[in-house]
Amino acid sequence: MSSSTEVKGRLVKVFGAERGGKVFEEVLGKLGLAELADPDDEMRFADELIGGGGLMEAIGRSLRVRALLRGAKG
Amino acid sequence: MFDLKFDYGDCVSHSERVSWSLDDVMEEGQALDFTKPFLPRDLVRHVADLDGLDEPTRLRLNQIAGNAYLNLFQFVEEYILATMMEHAQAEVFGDVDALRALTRMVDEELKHQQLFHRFRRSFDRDFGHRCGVLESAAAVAQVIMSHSPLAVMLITLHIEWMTQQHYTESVRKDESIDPFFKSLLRHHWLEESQHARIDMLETRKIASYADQEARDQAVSEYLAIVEAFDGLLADQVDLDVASLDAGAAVERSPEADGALRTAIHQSYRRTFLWYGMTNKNVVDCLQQLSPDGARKVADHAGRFA
Repeated sequence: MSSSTEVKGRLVKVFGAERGGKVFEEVLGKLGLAELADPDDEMRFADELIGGGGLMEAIGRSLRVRALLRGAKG
Repeated sequence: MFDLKFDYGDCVSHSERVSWSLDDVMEEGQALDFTKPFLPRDLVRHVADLDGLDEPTRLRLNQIAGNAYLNLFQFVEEYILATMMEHAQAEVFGDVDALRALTRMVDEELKHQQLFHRFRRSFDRDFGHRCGVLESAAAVAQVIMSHSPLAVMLITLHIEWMTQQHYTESVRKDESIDPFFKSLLRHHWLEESQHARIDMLETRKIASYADQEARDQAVSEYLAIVEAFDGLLADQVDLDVASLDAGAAVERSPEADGALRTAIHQSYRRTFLWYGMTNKNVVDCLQQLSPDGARKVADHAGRFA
């Protein structure tokens, strides 16, 4: 399963298909990415979510740890 | 990589079946019996083979090593706990089975630490005097966790599979050791058997993102951690000899003292280093990650036998 699919899956699980998919596309757009290609992309995505506060921040913090464990440079 | 025949859900199910509570295994303040050895012969092999020790001294040394053995597990579980908390955090809102397996593992490691603390309080009270044990667990956790996540998982695999092997190959079949200590190790093993599997699943997850350079580097880091661990074992040897001699007028020639320290150190090396480095599951994992690194580990393991 690709990083994009896994990360989007988490957002959909928490926010539902419509809002989760929208958040995913919006954050990708802000970062100028078409997809999450590697752990460094996941890290940037996570940091963007953390900036959103609340539940998005909680998801972002989890994704940040996940990216670090998978070799993101931080 | 790693053709595993189990998943996180299996680990949770098994963990639920074998779970125990602290008081089931040892009540606070429980008295210990010092008439029998705590550790089986194979886990103190070089001391058991050493000439010139009378039986009461050999028995005391075995019990001192048993106390240190539990402390060393308590010691390494400090960093395993912190590591698995991170791995669990990475699964929040993700794989529910993985999250349950990891959080159960964290809870069980904490329980093991409490059990070993409980044992050591009774040991200090009943042995006759306090025996020195390594006490810088947080500093060691800091050193280990400063390495790459894959290297941390490799040393964790080493420790968890080594624990399995100690119990299944040495402790379980030994009828001469103290039944309570044996029961304590059995309960530890029951839960650690799931931890070893969870480690394999987590290692596979992390390794899938690592290129060959990162995998080779992780094995080199693993070897560096093993060497650092050996330094800790040498420190424990000095504490053990001081514990053995405490309160007694001991006259030992420099040669006999050197032989004793070498035997204790080599026993610890065999128990904590060689067992893990040569464990079939660890070796298989190293070979799949880095064939060159696996050869280096095999070369190093010989001197710890």
